[in-house]
Amino acid sequence: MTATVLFGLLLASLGLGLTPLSMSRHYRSLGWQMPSKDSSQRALRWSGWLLLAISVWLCVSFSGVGLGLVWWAGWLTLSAVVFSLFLTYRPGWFLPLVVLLGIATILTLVSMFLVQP
Amino acid sequence: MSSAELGTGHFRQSMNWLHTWAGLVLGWLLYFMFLTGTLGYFDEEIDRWMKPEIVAVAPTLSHVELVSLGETYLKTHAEGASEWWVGLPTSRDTSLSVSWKTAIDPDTQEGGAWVTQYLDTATGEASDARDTGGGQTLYRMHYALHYMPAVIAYVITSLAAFFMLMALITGIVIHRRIFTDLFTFRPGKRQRSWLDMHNIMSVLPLPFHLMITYSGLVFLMFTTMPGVVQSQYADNSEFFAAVFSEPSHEAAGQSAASLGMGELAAIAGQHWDDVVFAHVGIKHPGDQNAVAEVYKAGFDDILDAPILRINAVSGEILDESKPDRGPAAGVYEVLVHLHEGLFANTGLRWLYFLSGMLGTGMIATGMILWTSKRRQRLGKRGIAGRGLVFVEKLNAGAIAGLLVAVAVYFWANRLLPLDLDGRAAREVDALFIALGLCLFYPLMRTVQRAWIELLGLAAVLFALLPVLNALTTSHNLASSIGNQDWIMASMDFSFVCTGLILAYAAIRLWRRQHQSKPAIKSVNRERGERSKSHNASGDSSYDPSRDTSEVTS
Repeated sequence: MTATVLFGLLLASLGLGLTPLSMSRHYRSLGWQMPSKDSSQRALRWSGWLLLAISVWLCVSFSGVGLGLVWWAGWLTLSAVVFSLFLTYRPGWFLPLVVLLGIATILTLVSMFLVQP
Repeated sequence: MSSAELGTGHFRQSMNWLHTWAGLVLGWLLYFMFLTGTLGYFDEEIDRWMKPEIVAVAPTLSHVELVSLGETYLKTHAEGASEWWVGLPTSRDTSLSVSWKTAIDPDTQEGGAWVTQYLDTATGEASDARDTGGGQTLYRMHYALHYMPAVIAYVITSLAAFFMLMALITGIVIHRRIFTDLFTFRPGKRQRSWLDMHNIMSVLPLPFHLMITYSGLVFLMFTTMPGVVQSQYADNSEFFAAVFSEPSHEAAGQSAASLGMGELAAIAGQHWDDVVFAHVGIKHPGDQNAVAEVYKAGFDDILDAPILRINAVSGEILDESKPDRGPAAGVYEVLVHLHEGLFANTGLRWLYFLSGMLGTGMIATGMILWTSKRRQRLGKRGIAGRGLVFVEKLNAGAIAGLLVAVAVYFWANRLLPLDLDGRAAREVDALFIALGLCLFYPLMRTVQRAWIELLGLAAVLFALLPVLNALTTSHNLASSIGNQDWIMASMDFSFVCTGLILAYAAIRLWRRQHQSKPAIKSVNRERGERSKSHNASGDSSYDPSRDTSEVTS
């Protein structure tokens, strides 16, 4: 139960974390070369939105409409504040942070299946 | 440019005007409301810090034992009361409390008042908690203000909430790049940085801001739209009695031996499969119609959990229900619960607190933005008008001053004599006296200095609160952790953190001022001429060390 909620929240952070990666402004600040096509940017943006949509559905179905939405919105605010701080003061650490979030999300998903066979 | 573009440009411009002035007019009041309201999310935790005499309940005692302990005290001290209640420790409250409603004398109609005592579980006796307003009074101020009748305060705070909603909606309209600028903060660029910070604090918690403002307005709808109720009911009290009152149980007038409160709690524990209770009460104890009511510590999603009613004489479960008040009251209840966040556990409570603090910062940066924009428009040589200087000084006095005032409220709690008459009211007086002094203080200083000194003062006052706590009570960080009194420990710890954050802000401002001092001097000396140091510095708007605007961070 707790793992499920955690999974939903991590997924929300991951989804939100993909959006700055799809923005050219932050692309430059990360010290990367702009991709030749913007198709990869679009793919990142849409997968970000998709993860956010899945996460809100998960939060609501496991914590109830009210509690799920409040957690989801509050958690996204916290994530966004942390992301803003990283992008401003430690842009080089942003990608590792998102990768770490991705790993944590997958680990939580795996543990969910181990705990509830 | 096509006429359509001209049209949107004009629309944006007028919205911009509305945003600027709707925000400014009641900005300081909104800042007060946001800060005290946000602190209200930790009202019970603040209560615990402000009542150091309360002995934290040992986690080894079971609920049934605690209820029995409370009942023993009530039997000896609250004989003849019409209601007995035992408040059990929860995750937010480490105390065991008892309260009772004194019997109403049929001849004089006197009585019917509520009395509350906190019990020491080791002795079973009341611990004499000091007279304090606590977190509740701080929280109440954000909608009922102070020193005025509640109705007038409700009208004022409703109006402020209305302006807030207006500022939020117009803010969304005039923000051109709400998604592309979502994470953008460019520090050290004066005006630009203030705008970025204002945007971040507004947009990231936008769902919270819209929810809290709208629900705040709805909360007070009986004040703002009295006609709706008055068209159906004689007055508000008749309406509230019809909608919100609980079913009443009359006393039979015949005494009967009822079950002990501990036994009644055990029945509820069996029925609910050992959930945590918040309150166990008995109406008309000792009467044949005595009824026990048990409240869960948890919530049903975000709404109140059902209450269990038990016949206190037979032990038979009467019902488990919450009142059904119809769809309209249901919507009201959802909004009110979202606003109050009573259902939130510790984690979610911190998220509420974060969003609330960002809202407080949104208002503060908005007010500073108003002045820094006008400063920039003046340029280096312009002389600020009275209005601008007034707002700058009031900003320093109100924004940094309220932080000082809140800290003073906590200091007053520890330093005022315990036997002082009307002690709780004097604590609040201390808060407002401090706020008043802080509002006047910038008149005697330059705006920059006022900011640095007031922020520095607030930092010192907050950071030393744990020291004051250790000197005036038996609680210090080490002993609180040792006694597993987590709330007392976290309060002390949070005070230190608050002090450090404020100290950081003060030091940043001091350094900025220190670095730009030569520039200010030369501007003052050669007012009317272009200073040489500025020509040498090149594009000064991108050089923070040359920043001569009054406030920057």
